[in-house]
Amino acid sequence: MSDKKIENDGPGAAVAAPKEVQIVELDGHGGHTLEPEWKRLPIGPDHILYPVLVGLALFPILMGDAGHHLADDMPDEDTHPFFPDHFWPYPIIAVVMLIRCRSALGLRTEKPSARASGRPSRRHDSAT
Amino acid sequence: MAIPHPREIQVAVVDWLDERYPFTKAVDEALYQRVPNFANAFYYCFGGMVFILIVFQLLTGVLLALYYVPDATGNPAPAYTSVQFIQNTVYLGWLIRGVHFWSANLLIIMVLVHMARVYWTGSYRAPRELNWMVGVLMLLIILALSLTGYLLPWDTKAYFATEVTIKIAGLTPPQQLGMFIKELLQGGPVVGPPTLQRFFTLHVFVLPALIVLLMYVHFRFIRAHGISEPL
Repeated sequence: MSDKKIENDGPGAAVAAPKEVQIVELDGHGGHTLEPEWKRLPIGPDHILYPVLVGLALFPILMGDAGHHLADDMPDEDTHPFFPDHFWPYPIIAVVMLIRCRSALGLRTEKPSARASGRPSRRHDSAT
Repeated sequence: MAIPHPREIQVAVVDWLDERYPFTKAVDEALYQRVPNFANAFYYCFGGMVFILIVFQLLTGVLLALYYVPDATGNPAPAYTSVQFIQNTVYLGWLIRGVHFWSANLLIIMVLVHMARVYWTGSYRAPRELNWMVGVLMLLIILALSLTGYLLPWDTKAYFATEVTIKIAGLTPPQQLGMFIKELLQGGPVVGPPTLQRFFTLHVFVLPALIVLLMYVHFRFIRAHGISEPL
């Protein structure tokens, strides 16, 4: 087959000229801006507490990649690291809630045992 | 052969993981991502508190399920006596049940407070509308969990409260739909053992699975979108 026939127009006759495809990344950003070293905990991979940090990091890792966040473009002085600043309140809140639950339970004057079983039409006991 | 120091073993494990996956990079990105200082306010904790309460509910719910018997036949019904057993005999059963009960109450309050915060700071706006919708769905599921959980002690209060609730649901127009909902919930002509069985199934299997799934979606969206800019 001659070259001339290949260049003819028509179905199946010509191969489309290669075009340069421009790749456009949605929400593309060149990696995340992390907090500088001086704001981090001095716990590296050789530290005994590193497995604890890994355990804490598993949760956000399982939640998938972070997008381009507002703080990525902010100056250092306007940001703080996620850990420990946004972690430490929760164990304290959990303990306070446990204490609160216990104290609230103590305030309950009516015990469930004072109530009768359901379906009153079939009830035999006289407890109310 | 010298016994390696535990630190050397740890570093070797981390290196092994790093060769197969950007492990330390992922840990750093998870822990040391930047958070704007304006998000360091106490009211940004409300969502986390809701999460803690849901975890409490799941853990105490599993412990309660070890002893609870979802059977409303007979008098007194095993459902009722098993709750009494948990409350009075099981070691720390009163505490587990108390935490489950009070966390359920606190959970609804904290969800509403969290939603008020999201509304107040405008965090429901684009591109976070979908996450707001997921949150509203989670609120509905939490309310459904409260409703279904209320019947499980099978005492008179639970029985009559559920009877009233089902009657209200049965008034949904048109009449045929209302009757269908009532029969679906009740599982018979009156509130009885089939009702308890259905509410137990919803409370223990269906609704917790749904809420865990929606929590995962909610957190993924939060991680993808980040903290919203202030109004």
